[in-house]
Amino acid sequence: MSTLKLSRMGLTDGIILIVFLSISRFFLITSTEAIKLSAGLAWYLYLISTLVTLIIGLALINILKNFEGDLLAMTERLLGKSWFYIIGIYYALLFLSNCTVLTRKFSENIAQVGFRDIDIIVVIFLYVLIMSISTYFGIEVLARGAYLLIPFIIFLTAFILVLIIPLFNVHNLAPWQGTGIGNVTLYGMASAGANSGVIIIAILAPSFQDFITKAKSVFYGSIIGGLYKMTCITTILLAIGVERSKEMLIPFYELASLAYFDKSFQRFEDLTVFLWIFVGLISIGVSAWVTLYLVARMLKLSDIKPLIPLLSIIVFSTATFAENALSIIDFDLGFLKIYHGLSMYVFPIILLFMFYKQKLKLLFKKNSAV
Amino acid sequence: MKRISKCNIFIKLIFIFMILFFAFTLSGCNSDYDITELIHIAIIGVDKGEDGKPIITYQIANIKSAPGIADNEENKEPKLNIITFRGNTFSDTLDALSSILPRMPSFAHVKAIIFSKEFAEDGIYSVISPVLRHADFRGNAYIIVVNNGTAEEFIKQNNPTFEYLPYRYIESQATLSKYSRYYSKATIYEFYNRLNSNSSSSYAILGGINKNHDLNNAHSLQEGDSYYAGEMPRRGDTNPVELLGTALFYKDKYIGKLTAEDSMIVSVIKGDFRKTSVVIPDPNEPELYVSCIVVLKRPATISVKMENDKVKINVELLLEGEAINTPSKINYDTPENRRQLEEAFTEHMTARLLKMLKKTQEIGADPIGLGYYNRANYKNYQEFAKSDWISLYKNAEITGKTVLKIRSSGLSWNKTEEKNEVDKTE
Repeated sequence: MSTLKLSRMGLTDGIILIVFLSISRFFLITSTEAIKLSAGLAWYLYLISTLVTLIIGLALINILKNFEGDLLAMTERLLGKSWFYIIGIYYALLFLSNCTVLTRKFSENIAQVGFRDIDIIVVIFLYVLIMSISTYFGIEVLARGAYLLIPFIIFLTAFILVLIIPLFNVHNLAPWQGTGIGNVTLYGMASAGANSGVIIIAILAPSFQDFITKAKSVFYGSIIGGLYKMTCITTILLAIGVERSKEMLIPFYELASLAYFDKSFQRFEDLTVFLWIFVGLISIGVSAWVTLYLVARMLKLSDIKPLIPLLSIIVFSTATFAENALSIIDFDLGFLKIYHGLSMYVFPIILLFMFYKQKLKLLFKKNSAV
Repeated sequence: MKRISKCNIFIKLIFIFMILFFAFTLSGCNSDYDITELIHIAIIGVDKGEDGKPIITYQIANIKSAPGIADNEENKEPKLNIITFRGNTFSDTLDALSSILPRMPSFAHVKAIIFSKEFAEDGIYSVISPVLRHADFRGNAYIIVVNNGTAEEFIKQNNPTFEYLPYRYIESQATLSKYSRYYSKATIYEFYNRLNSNSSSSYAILGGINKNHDLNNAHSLQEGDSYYAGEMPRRGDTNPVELLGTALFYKDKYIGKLTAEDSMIVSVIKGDFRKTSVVIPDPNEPELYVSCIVVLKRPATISVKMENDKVKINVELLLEGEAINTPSKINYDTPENRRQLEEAFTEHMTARLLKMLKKTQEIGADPIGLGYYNRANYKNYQEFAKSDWISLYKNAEITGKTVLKIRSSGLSWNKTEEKNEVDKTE
């Protein structure tokens, strides 16, 4: 057992961690991809993926209450030592890839709209630097710092969305069935991997007080993240329409550029840059911390801090690995979609199956003994 | 214990400060330019050269002539500078512009992109596309097609009387389209959305250089064939440049135009207007005219049905008005007369509506966006993507009706009858 000490976290921390991890990709290309797949029914795609996340997250938390410790401890008890490492490595790679891809994609976006004269390497370096510092502070500070930023995020988003209302055309959502309800349901289930951040509650289970806190975190975190994405995607569709939205690389930025209050009071899109940075920095920091936690847990280390420089070098080199901005998008939408999808379905389902198998075995034993 | 909690708060504060610091740094606030290091491009004009290549005119805002600085009598700075280039592409001329300017050209405040009709006929995608990919440009710049003359000429002739800066004139005019109503506000954002939508046609504001000062042959904007931009007879010390009418596109190519009167009907159907006045011949004394201030009572009722690949469109408008000017001195406040006037307005407005819709069918463009109402007729998006709205629209069966209800008589009531009495005593 690792001697790594976890700080105590509450309901708000849990919610914030899930919300940040689930909405961070929304500011990137995934919203465009959702519109490509489901046309006017993109909100339904997010609804399905949220419901799937909710079911899997709650199921995982529900079986976790029968064990002491975290996801890895439960895996060890149910499946044995080798699965402890398989699942540990799998989720560590998941959060590492999250960290790398988010670093590169947020850097590319920032380079597009803010840092136009600076080499992308410098922007990535800055992101990695902040990631290292945030990881040093720890998950508790990241979570509690994040909820102080929540009012800014809510205010900025609401402000932009309200200004967009005059551009709404409800017919943009038609044909009402999008690319077909059946198809969109399947796409929604397939894209639930984008919410794999919900697993964080199971990974950090010992930090949370009790089962209720963990279950509520999963419930409210998934619902808030899902509602945020559904509201934003519906606004994009109503204001911009399916055809144009499919071409956008930074949809939320372009949506904000349409907000117009007065000829002396405009250019609100720059506010969205702050929004990305807040969400991006927190998500990257949390992903980095969880990666290191899982590594420390597997290697039975008592502290993650010595690993921070190593992780920073790995993230920096892998983030600069992609040749251009489009190849990282292809990588994210291709390989990572499958990888994240597996993390949401395969391992939780194996764990559920094994848990109920063991439970049934015990029941049979009891009955035969009687 | 207290020491630990104080330490935690300190760490959190450092963290928040760090996030905020990097939020400002990463958002590019450090690599901004001082306003004196920038040159703001206000208007871009695009013409077709003799060899078909674009001739691009940039109108540059001169910061030294800004109000406040320019109030100084000694300041003889021109309000703007106009530079014209010829290049193989639009982006080509952007480089040429950067090479001759002493400061960084900024496109963040481009108010309008103006095209000559000749260039627009060949398609404007080559200009719109780089504009949309460039983060500096904004989707709310206006699109104008010059009806008579070149874009360069239009920019040079733009000399407003009541606005200090010429590009402000275009911005103010376009913003006020819901009141001036004889053209529809057209932005790059809307143009490009419509270009891709398969549910409507792109359109632009029709601009023109007015050279017609012959008032003897003038008629009302709502009478006869109405006017296109640059053709409305007028005299006086006003801006020679005017915005009047709508330029219609098939995909990105200019294919026709709507008059001021037709453009007003388009605005009414789209719900893009606040208030307008309608003038019709007096039903009882046709040589005189009665005018009515009109507001849209409720959004247009539009239904689009598809039966065996044949589209049936029905447009219904309910307007509410106040009879404001009745020179015939007939008392239209009595219930019978008011009904007669309402019927006359209804008949007149319905005819104008159907005339405009027929014209757009003949041109082959749907500036209203009736195709958006047709999207719901498709089962799914794949089916919709295979359809071609404009060919369906050209062959559509269109019906329509405008109903006008007079709600009030303005601030006076039965005044005309009193006047009659005065006339009789005289």
